[in-house]
Amino acid sequence: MERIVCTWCQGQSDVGSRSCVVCGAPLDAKQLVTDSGWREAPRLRDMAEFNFGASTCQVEGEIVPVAEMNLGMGDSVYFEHHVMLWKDENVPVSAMNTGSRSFGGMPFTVTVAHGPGRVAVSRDATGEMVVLPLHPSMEVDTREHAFLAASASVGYSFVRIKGLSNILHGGSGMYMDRFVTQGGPGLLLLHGNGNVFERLLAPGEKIMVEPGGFLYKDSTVQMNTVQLPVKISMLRRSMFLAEMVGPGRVGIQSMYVHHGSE
Amino acid sequence: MPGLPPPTIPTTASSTYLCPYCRLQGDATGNSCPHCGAPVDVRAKVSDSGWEAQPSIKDMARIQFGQSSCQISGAYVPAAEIRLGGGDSIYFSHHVLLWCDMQIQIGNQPMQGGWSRMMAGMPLIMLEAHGPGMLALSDNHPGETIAVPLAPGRTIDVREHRFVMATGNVGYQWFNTSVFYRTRSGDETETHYPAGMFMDRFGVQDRPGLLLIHSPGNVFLRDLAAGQSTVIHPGALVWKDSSVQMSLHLERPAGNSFSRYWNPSTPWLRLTGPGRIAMASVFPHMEGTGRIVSHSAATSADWNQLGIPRAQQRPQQPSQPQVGMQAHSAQAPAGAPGQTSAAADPLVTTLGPVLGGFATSQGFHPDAVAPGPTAMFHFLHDSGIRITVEVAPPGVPGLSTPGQPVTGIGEAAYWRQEGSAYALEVRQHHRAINVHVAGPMSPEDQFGWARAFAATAASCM
Repeated sequence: MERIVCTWCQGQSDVGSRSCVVCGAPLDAKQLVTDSGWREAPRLRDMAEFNFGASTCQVEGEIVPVAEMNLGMGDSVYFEHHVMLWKDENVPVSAMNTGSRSFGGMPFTVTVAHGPGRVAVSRDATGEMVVLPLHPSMEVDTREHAFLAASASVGYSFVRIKGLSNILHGGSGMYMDRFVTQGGPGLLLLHGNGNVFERLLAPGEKIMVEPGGFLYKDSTVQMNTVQLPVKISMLRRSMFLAEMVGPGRVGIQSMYVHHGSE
Repeated sequence: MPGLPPPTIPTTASSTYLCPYCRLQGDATGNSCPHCGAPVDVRAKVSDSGWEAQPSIKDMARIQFGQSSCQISGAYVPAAEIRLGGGDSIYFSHHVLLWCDMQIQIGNQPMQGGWSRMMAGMPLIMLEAHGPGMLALSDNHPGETIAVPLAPGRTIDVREHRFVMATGNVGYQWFNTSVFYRTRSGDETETHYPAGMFMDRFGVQDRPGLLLIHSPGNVFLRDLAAGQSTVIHPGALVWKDSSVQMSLHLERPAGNSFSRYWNPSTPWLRLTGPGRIAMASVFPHMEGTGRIVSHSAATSADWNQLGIPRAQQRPQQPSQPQVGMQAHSAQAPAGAPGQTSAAADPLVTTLGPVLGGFATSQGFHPDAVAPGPTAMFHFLHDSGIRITVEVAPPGVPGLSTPGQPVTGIGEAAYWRQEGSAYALEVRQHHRAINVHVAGPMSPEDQFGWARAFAATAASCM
């Protein structure tokens, strides 16, 4: 049977589908790639719908998108409690203890919603929803507070950013969220402020990114802090950028917090 | 007449195109202007009052400058990806850098007056990048990134924190806006700068340059004729031609005795032409001023003394400066029965600069005309389009027999054919105007042009 392959997630959909059943990306829109190789995250159409497990997710709105999930029996998703927009009254929620995350300014608990029933989540900034279907045995690191929701099949941990200079000058905070799949696939939803771009780095290939613009990366991508030979204040403070070294994907957001100027 | 499109910007030839936004000629075969990235296939969107929406640069549109190019990507917070050729350079504020490759050379560009800039919250140090190599810049507000190509000799003033980058040959200065007011609370006096304490000024001498500006929200343009002025929210100004003068306008709303004693004012920014201005639809919220004890040179309006117009009463025309008309106004015979002199007609006086500014912004030129019994404004476009706006004298409710009714303009409007040409008549507040259109284009486009000029004129009636 003939199928359409999604250029964003490589998922397969039936011929005639307007959006990918795995990630919701438009199938009839051209992939937009800049001259240097950054490709735009697909702009999900209002009311685009895709599946995960026995559940579905529908994306509503385009300026600050909402992910409305219809959870099937036995499915569950987790998210930071303050992103929950609404839920069915009969959807039970529980808490996932995340321990020392609170020391890094992150929510101490992560909320888990259990199906069947509907729950909707959204962040509070203009931007794009990034849908990352995770194949088995994948690891993705995301910047703190970028995580919108993940399916229960995705393991959640957090990693302390290595190196004192990375923590002090990197601008990405003290922790990164790490999402891992084991034997089965999973779904990860992120919210990027502004527009989101992704680039695939070859082994050893490097790119320098404003730390506030970093959104996600494959865990195979190394992140180092590089000091530029420029001064950005009267006190001769230096400028630091995040050096990303491949192989793997790097995602950035165009509206970012510049820690050096806030 | 539903379904007819608004006016299109005609091209003078199939291969050349005069961009209405940057006013430079370019190749019309692409989707966007090579100088400023504005789409070439959009129709001009002009509000009834004459503000023209700046179209967003299309995703992935490219702008050429020197040996380099700039590609705009994204729609909410666009990123400008710049491919610098060898020998080319740009400068920018460090906090807009999004990413760069390993080949680009980045260094400091020191600036004068660092202490004053630091006190005003302006960037202290600019970075400069030298090619070859690639880098990308983006602001951190949802809005539009606009490109302003600078022709030799042109200077523009940009509101603080709106600048994204400029090519290396663009000169950069900054100046005190001198638009301020002071309030006092107890023993404390505070100075406020509603348009910012400083503005950036950019200009080029011998070679063309490029300036990128990011504006929160949407951007709207307006061309002011010499002496014509408008007032806008001070925080909404994005950029202006340096020829546009800027001053404070204080408006005191009518109120009870307590508010009269407290004397709060609403500060506005008065911009006086000639020149182009751009404003943003997102701007910082301003608190009430409280009692102003001193201020920079300002005009004012006190509605306690002027009185509020009654609801049934026709709103008074805003005071317009007496300026020379862009178009020729034929003098009506003095003392003609049922008519006043066209020059003494306040509607004709008001229409002159408004229509002239709008027509100029659309690429029209005033056209000479022989005197006639009614006031007429004639405009001619290089592509052969001729527009004539005829103003009926006061007391004459209509100029000709009604045609097909048109909704959305004035109290009544009619569209009719006059041989090979068309005319749109608008009636409002017991006045009438007739917009005649002739030129090599379809009836739909003729209607679009007529509607645009009629809407501009109707805002003054």
